[in-house]
Amino acid sequence: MGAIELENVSFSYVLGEKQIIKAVKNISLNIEEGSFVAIVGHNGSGKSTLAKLFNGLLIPDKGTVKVFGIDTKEEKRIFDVRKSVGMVFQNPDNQMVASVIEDDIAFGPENLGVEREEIIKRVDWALSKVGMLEHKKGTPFKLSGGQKQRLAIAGVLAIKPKVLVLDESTAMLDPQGRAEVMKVAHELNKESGITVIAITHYMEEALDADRLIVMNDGEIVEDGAPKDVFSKYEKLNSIKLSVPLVTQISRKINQMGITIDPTIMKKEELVNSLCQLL
Amino acid sequence: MSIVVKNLSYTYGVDSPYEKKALNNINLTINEGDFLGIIGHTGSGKSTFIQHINGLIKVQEGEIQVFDVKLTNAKKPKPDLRALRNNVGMVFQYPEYQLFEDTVFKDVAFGPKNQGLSTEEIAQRVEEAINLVGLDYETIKDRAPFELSGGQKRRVAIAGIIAMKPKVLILDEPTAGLDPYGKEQILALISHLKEKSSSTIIVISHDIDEITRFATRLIVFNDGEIAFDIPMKELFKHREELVKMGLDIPLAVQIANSLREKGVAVSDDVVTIQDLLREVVRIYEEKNGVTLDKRAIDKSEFEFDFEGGQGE
Repeated sequence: MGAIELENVSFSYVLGEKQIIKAVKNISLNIEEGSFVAIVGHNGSGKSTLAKLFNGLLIPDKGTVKVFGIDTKEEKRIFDVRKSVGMVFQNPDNQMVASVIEDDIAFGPENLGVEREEIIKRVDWALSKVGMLEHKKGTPFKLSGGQKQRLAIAGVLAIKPKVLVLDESTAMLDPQGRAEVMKVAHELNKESGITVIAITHYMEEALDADRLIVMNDGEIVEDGAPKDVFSKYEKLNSIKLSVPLVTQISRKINQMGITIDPTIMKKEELVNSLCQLL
Repeated sequence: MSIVVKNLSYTYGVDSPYEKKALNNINLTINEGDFLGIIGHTGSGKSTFIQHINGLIKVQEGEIQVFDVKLTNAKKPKPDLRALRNNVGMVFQYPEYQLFEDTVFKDVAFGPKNQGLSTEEIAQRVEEAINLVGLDYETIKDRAPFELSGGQKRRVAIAGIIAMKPKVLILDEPTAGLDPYGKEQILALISHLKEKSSSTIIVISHDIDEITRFATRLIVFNDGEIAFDIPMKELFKHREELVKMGLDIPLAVQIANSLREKGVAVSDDVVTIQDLLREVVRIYEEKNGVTLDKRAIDKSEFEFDFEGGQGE
């Protein structure tokens, strides 16, 4: 059984009488438990709608979404779904609920009626997982963007989800903040076995994923290992996407008639290849 | 000279437990026509500095001359903030959040209207500004800003500032949060604006790779001070200082460094990706006695035609 299974899922937004936007069109998808999946696509490609279908924030018009076997349409079990799939959104300032960090982290488990002793344990555990334990008694409002997003992740972790969905959670951060958040996401995946689904605009963030899904116009147009997907430059370019900067460089060198792999993704690999040629 | 800053210092929360010195004795001259990139950490003082330039923050210490307007801490005479803001156009982060009118035309017209221009003049400026940002005036003018895509909204917001014809255009993180295509489009737009007008452009960005692509002068803020102020092509001389400040250095500079360490004779002044590609080609050609097709070097990932008014 996969962590999240989609079968022929469609979803439309109804804007006006005659205006309907088909955001997700007949998608079937199986997210393996324990995997790290990146989803990319330009603005309006349907990737955020897809994310909201993963934990029942949106219910499909057609088809089924199953989270660990539970259909998200089953209203009585929606809390089980949301407990399994935690989401972190784009704006770090919109996800704080308390003025003291430990209270903020406790908010989730408190609402689920978790015992006090257990909540205390979870708060410490969640904060240590994102490297923020020393800020426990501090206030969230004085943190940097990257720290705020790590805090938002800790808030989700305190609910003990099996899947963590990052919906463009790095979009508003500076390069350091982005790196911090991605590092935490990879650690949670490797060390705690949490399934991570990272939706992003930054091609560089997809490099270390096990699997890269490319969305366009509500459909999945590519699905595979990042290296294989990034080798399809023309196709990505035609749907207004790009490849990582290192790959752009290797591709241009190749185009000028120098025999080099045009799909290199890592800086070190590019340097080594160039050394042999120059 | 368009902007002269002398001994500017600023402290937040004076006499409170949160007192923090944000700017410490800044001296700077910005010339007319400069294409300036400003980088620095969150909290380095770059935003505080920028907000001084169009009078959003009152001067505590030091003085700023922006064209004819002088800003000091003196209570009188009051500076002419209207004249100041007519000269300095500021595009904030996520400017699309500030769109509020029900049509694109009205939104872009808001600034010129407040400048007290005639109806004809406003209409002309709105059309010009919308075309300049690469949108098709006729198809977009009556649409609601909210139904546009993220990149389109941002261009409408930029048009609203351009329509005021500022002599200095400041953009704070203009590509934040956009997808790769939207990002390239805004970068191409900034270059296009620079070509089309002689005005001074100042761009604040976290992304050094982005800034090396267009700015010709680089200012680095660190801890409330200007760490350095250099022509962009001399950036490579300061790579170690940048690393020490915890700032990224451009990818091309990183690769050139690694190649040099491994004994490849890459020239010292590589800053942009184009520089790097040119060096790779030069060394390869010398070594192999061949001539390569260099057209790929200057090719962009996406092509944009701002003259045509893409309308999409």
